[in-house]
Amino acid sequence: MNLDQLIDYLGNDSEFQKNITKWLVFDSKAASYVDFPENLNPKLIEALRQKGISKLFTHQRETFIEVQKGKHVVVVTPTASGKTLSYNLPVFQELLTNRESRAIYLFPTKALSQDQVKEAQDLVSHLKEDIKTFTFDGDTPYDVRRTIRSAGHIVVTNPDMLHQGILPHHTLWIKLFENLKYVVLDEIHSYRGVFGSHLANVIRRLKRIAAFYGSHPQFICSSATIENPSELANNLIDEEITLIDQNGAPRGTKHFLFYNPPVVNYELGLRRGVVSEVRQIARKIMPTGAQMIVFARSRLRVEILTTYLRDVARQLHISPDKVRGYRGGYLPKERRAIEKGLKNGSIQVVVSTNALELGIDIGQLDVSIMAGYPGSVASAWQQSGRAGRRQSTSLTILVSSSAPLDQYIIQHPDYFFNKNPETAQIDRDNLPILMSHLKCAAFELPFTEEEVFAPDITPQLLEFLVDEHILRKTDGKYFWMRDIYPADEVGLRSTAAENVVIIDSGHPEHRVIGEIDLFAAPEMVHTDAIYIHNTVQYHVDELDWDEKKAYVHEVDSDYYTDAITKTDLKVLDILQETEEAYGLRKTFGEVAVARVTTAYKKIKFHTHENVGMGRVYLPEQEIQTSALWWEFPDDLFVDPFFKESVIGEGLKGIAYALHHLIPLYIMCDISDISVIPMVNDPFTHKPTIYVYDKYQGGMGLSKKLFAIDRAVLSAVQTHITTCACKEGCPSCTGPVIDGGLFGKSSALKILNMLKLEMD
Amino acid sequence: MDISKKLKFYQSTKTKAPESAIPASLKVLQSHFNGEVVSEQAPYLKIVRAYPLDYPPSVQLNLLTKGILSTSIPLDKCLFFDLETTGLSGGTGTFPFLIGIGYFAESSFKVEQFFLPDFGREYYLFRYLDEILPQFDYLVSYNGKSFDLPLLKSRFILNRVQSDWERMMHIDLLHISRRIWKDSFENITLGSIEENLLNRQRPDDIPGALIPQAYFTYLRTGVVHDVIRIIEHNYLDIISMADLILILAKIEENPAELNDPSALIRLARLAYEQDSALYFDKVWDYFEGHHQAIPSQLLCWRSLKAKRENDWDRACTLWEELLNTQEYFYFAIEELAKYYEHKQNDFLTAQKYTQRGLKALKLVEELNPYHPDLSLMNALEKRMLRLSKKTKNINC
Ligand SMILES: [Zn+2]
Repeated sequence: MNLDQLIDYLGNDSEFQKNITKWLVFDSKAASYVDFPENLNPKLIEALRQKGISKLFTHQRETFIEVQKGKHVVVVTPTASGKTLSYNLPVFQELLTNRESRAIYLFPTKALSQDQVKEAQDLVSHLKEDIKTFTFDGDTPYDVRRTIRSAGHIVVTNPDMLHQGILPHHTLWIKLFENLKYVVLDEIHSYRGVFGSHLANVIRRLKRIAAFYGSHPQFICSSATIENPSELANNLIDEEITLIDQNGAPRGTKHFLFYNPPVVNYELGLRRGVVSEVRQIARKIMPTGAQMIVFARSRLRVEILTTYLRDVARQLHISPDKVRGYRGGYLPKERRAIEKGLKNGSIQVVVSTNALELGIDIGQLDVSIMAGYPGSVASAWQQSGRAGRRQSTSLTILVSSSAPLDQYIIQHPDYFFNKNPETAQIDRDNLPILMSHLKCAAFELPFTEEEVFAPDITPQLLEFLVDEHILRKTDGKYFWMRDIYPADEVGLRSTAAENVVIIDSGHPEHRVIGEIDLFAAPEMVHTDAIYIHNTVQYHVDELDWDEKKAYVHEVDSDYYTDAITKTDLKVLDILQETEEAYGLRKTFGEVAVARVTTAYKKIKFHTHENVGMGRVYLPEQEIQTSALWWEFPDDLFVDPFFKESVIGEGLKGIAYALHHLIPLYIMCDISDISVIPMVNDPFTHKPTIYVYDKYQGGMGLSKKLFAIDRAVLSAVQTHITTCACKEGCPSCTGPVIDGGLFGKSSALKILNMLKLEMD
Repeated sequence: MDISKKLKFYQSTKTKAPESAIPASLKVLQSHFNGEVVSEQAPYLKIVRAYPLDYPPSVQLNLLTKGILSTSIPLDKCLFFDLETTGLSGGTGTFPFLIGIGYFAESSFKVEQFFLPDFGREYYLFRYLDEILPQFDYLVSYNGKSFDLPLLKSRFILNRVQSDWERMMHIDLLHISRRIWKDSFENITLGSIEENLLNRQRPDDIPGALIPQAYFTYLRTGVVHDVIRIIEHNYLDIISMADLILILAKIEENPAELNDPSALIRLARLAYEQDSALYFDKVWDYFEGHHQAIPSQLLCWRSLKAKRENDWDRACTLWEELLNTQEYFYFAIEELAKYYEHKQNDFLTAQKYTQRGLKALKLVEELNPYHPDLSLMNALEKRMLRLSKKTKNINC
């Protein structure tokens, strides 16, 4: 049975069909080819011909032309569409005419950069020119660093290395900075939230250093499909952006199936588990010999699914060696072997975390199965993009869990047909982040009085640092006046200078697996919490608050912990407010949030039973951040149905669904935001729902929500309405055990009165 | 970078700098050290002192630099330098606020120190240094290769002063000192060298780690007490370097200058590695001349030297002697086995030594089973196997 026959077969399999909520077929699309630009260097044309490329895709040519005009560009492309060539062409064109020129290629992670280096080097080998591409990262040996600094035409690195290893030592990189023509920022959609806000400031520093050496680099960005690529690119590099989003790459027919596991317990709203469903589906597909990738959301799940699918292989008389797991934590050698096996066909099934979502070259496979929604439409497209050789048919199956976001997506497949509504937000002027980078910048070069780092506030910030004896002002310049190296104190993945470090004591070298803001630490990594990092479960053995260290070990737990946290929210300032229809008032402002975690509950997965409790003794944490809140007018609640407790349940239900659905519009993790329902809010004296960014200084999330709240609330309303449950469930207004019996009905009644339907 | 841009920057800094009067604290320092305040636009303090020191016109450091400086070094072509900075971790934000240089001239050692009483005062000083640099061919420092010179280069670039540093040879006295005294002193600092070789103490010295903070305090308060200590510290560092290079030159000439067995053994090793038989013999003669028991380490180097010279009788005698030591027992076993196997084709004797080694090793293993030297065991067993094959072949 080949893939087309399998698709027919699945189409006729009534057992399978019952669970398919939508079967989308994206028709094949022919490539839009264009000739090489007239002025493209003949050597490049020759090298491309040798590689079998005689024409370009439209977006590749357009990128070349716009960059030649001196524009900063962002190219929006799906996977496997020749994105790399889009930025290699203008860069190599420049290097062929002016060998002194230099370029920086910036990739969000190290793994991602490897294939790009290979591709650039391959082009060089066809050009037979002395153009050097070097990777500069933490693993680069010291003896070759000197060569890279002076002789590397293209320096491939990541934001962390640029921040800590290159910019503070810019005098060693004169050649690079004097001749810096291009900066390539790949996969910019991954630069959102804290990481993106940091990167925007690293770019400010980069531009400042480049200007000191007399260069003004052009930026070439690439992004997956999101709603606001230009806005994001503009926020990151602070330059006017030319958007290139007409993709010319060809595509085979793509079948995109939405699979919702059947409900097994209506009262609890429980569906059959993703893992066992994926096993059933794989069993149907494996006999066809189709090459398949299964994306699991956690490393643990990768291991479980790999074991299951090897068993299935055995039953089907397929060698179990053709089924392999792939995740971070495997040795590089193992990973290379798997990548090779996928390319040459010796491996048929790979089960992976999102580690294989992008960048790494594994060729194109036939089938992509997502064991659970990966959290964003952009990610889902990238995972789906792993299937689909250019001209042939491919199959993607999204198997959803019972999480609200999964359930919303599975019932609204139009997100994949129409424009992706997800926006990537950053706040480059977040005060703690900005301040950190202002210090790094002052270390790198003294500031002059009239210099602008962040608009409007630079002089005040500099004066503040003078008062703190961190800078010294003399002769109209601000000089670094500390004996430390400030970049060492700033990590690009968190806002606070002081974090709790999470240490895996099960690992032989007590590996640090991550850091967490002080503000979030008490509820996330209190002693005996189940902490989920990169979707792996860890048990927290001890939180040493004085040392700011949490010791954890990996577990396979059947419960999670839910911290009981008292939140005290004070409004500090109102920045924007509007009266909505039906008296609903929405406000954007600044708030102080004090939180103290006092206890936690152990909640069983799936059934959401409370299976235990514990106490927590930790100090109160306070942050100032931005927030959005809605006040519900009293006259909404004249119906005697609305007892105070019923209003409470309704608000709680709305808050639950809202919290889970915000990532539909604003790319973030649900732990980046908090949603707090208040029946009688002490500030507004009305039923109120607050949404705030869980970062000191805010991260632009609630600010964006203020602008698009009607769309989000209306999604919440639709979602709760269409959920199959009666009184609320974990997929809509939250587990019934948690709320009362009126969560769903009250929430719906409130939302319906708001007349949210978009006009 | 083209020159017009460079000039533009120079202009803008020059025109914007307001006429700064000389602060009182700088005047205090000036009179204390009898110095001179230089450059009206950006005043800094220059202190010149002469340290009386007899010196030869040139020195040799061939062996001690492992042949990197093979020709003789004219001392008047050496520029000694040392920086005091606002941080110890490097990077462009670290500011050298005190730059000390020294050179041999007119039968003494001249020290010039430049104290910068605030940030942003380097430009005119760097121009001055850039002017005098062509008079010298060598830079001499203590740990300057990894710290002071990169930092100074970085500051020159920040001030857009281009100097040709690459032209000059860099003699880092730390590297040479470490080569000699690694087994003698706990830390090879200039301080320990002064104490042990120059018999000089620094009673009121300011510890290096406190220097950045002391300068910041001066910037805020204008109190000069610690700055005086820093200037003295820097002065002592520089004159110690001058003393040190002369001591090194004497050691290069004759190791017996050193009355330090640990250092002498390191020199013997250096002589062996550099294949300098003459120098090696000088070390050897020192021990014999002083009727001292010859350290086994030295015997070991001597045996290797004999081996290299094909002086097998001598080598074997030494190895037999080394069989009585603990540290070199297995070394001697292996060397002897090798010798009898490959040079004498006397497999039985080779076997005898190998067997002796294995027996000792197994005994050690029995006594301390936790740390068996597996690679040694392996090597000996392999040799044993090969040897028994070879003896069998002969028997057949
Ligand atoms: Zn429901």
